[in-house]
Amino acid sequence: MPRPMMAKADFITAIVFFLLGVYMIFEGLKMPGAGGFIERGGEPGRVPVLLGAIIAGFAAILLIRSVIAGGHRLDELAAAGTLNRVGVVRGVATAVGCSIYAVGLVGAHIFGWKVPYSLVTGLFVFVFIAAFEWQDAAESGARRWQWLCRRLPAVAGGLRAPFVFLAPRDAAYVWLLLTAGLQAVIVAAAVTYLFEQQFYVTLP
Amino acid sequence: MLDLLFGLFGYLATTFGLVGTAVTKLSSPEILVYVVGGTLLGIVIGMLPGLTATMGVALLTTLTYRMEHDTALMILVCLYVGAIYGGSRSAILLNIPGTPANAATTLDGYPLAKMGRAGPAMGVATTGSFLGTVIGMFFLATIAPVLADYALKFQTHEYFWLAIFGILIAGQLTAMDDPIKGWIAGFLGLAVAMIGQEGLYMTDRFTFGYTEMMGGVNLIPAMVGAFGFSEVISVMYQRRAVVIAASARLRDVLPDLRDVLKYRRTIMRSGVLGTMIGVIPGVGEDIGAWVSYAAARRASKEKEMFGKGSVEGLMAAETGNSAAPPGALIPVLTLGIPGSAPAAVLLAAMVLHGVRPGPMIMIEFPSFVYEVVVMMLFAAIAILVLGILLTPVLLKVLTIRRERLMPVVFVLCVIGSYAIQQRMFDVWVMVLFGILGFVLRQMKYPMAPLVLGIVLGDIFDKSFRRSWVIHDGDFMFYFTRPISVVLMLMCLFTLLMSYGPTRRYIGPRLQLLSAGVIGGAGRILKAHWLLVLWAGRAVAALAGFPSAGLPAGGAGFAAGLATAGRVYVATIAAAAYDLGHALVTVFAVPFIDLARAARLLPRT
Repeated sequence: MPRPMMAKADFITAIVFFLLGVYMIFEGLKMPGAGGFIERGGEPGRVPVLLGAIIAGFAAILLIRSVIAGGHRLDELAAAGTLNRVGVVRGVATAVGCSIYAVGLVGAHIFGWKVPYSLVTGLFVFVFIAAFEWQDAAESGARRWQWLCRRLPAVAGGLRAPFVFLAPRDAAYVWLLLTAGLQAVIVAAAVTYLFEQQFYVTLP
Repeated sequence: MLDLLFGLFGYLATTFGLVGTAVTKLSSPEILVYVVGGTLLGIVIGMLPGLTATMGVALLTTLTYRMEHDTALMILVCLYVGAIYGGSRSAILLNIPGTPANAATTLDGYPLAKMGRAGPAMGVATTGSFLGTVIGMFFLATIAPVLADYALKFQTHEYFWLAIFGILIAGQLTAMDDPIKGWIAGFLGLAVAMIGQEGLYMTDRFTFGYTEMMGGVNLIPAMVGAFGFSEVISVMYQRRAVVIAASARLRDVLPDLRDVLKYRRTIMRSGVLGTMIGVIPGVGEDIGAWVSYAAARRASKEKEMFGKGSVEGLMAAETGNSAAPPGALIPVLTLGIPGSAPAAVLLAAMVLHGVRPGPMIMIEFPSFVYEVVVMMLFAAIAILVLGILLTPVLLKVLTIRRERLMPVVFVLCVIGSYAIQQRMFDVWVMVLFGILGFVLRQMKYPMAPLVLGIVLGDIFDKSFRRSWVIHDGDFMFYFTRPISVVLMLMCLFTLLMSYGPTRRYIGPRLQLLSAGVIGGAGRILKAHWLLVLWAGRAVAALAGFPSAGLPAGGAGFAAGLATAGRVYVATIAAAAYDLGHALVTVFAVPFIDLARAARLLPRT
């Protein structure tokens, strides 16, 4: 991350951590105090208060430093221009996609839907590969196709036969979908077998 | 002096005997399969950028928790050692460290590969990793039992200071640009550990009324998230790398023994430094490699080659990072405090398998330390053999596309964090820590102190409050025990050294002091050697063998003795000057500076 952007990021995280520290102090103070069955010095809130104070203290120092570095003035949009744009899209897509899969499983669990684990997992693997490889599928697919044609012309010819009506580019997409599907089936089957049959886990 | 020496030899002999017993206990064809499998998997995981040792150990813990404890831990230890070694391959061929531990390896490994010497570079990495592991293992076998014995002396509030010191030093050493971020991460980890029912009075803390949160945040799902899911995101975020074509012929990747002989000092130094860095709580292989690399460059005769393809630099980095895993296990076994992030997972795995690491280990599980040593030994041999023989096959691993690999990794992250307790809450924790981990890492917050904090949270909380209860709210006990005071001063020192002005003031003086002390001690040793030498020459002259210009007979004897005395006194005086000079500069000059600042003395 470039330096001015980092000052901005520090400015924001410092505020977040400072608030977290203050929150911990307040929560800690509300916890049951001395007296009753709790001996003096053993109050449960003692350590959260201490930790909250330390975190808030460090965050305050970080905040002051980031303000000195000009973090509070920086325009987010100008700074965002320096980022690896394609990367951000891919990163966010990964985070969101994976979370949907994981949380979807959780959600199904909570609402008591009967969705087979292996199906959801296979679907996730398939969609992940297809989505991220789509863009360079044409190029890499063509390369792999040539490789296959060179090495095993008969097999390649056999595979090609059902798709003769497709342009090479589309063939690459078909190839991508086929291999992604194959991997999805293998992964889903292997994971399901391993955990259900070998580790006796009740799958979600 | 002699009895000390004999005692030392006796101790070493006993240690080797116990290690031998453990070797016989663990040797079976079945174990061999696990060693080869674990190490191979480790090498593959290490080679793939985005799959780190921590993630591998965490994921495999979830896959092995139904096995026997020694089998499961054997696989995990082999995986750990294998992954740290495997990362060197991608560092050399892709210029991307396969695990963070191999970041220093890229500096000289990649230039070597670009010069067309990728094969020999991989050979050097193999040698370095093997020797590093062996050196670290030696210290693990010899230091851990002694340290465990000493750790029995620790009282509750000393554990508190130890935890604070661990967090401070880990935050300081692992933070990429600003120690304060490392410290925030560490205390954040402690704060995370506060979630759930506390251990003394069963009060709920930060549970927000959810029953599932009463159990607290488990380490393994948190680690799988912070090192697994967040890596998946960041691998997809980065640009793709290009592999350098490498020769995979056996002749090229075979380690060169001449390198070992030529750089024996570098290897020894890096091994010792790597182990020491490994011992420091939360500070592991990556820093071990950097410190060894920096020390090697400072001491090298070919400094200008560093960063441009120096075999010595590569050797230092790989020896340093591989010596750290055994080092990191020393505090795990003796104090229950992880020495690195993967060691934190190993600690959790040990607890999962019913082994309770800590000061009582030599009493409760006396053979366990030596079994871990043997696991390290097997892993070291396995990386040597597999690293050389399977190079052609392993190079194929680098061509696996990330789009194909990452969904599988994430599927394992989900099912792995779910499987241990079959709680959906753990999957939530994993996802949350994954996103949090990615964001924090982008903002240069290190993950290792966070993990250390989560591990230490329970000890920290209980020992802090227990010590207050025991002393009835009187805090003077912090100042009355020597161990406590020393730990407290170490914490203070760490804080002071990270503040620019104090570091600039203390740093050079500290260097001066250590140089003076080391120089002085060296001179004292030299003085005794010279005394013995000249006394020997004098006796030889008396016996009719003149040497070094001494005449034969009584005159030569007298002259020899006189020279012995003169040389001895002169060298001791020089040593005293060294020490005195250092002490005066370090301890007296600050007073002069203070006086100047207060205008009691004229400024020069």
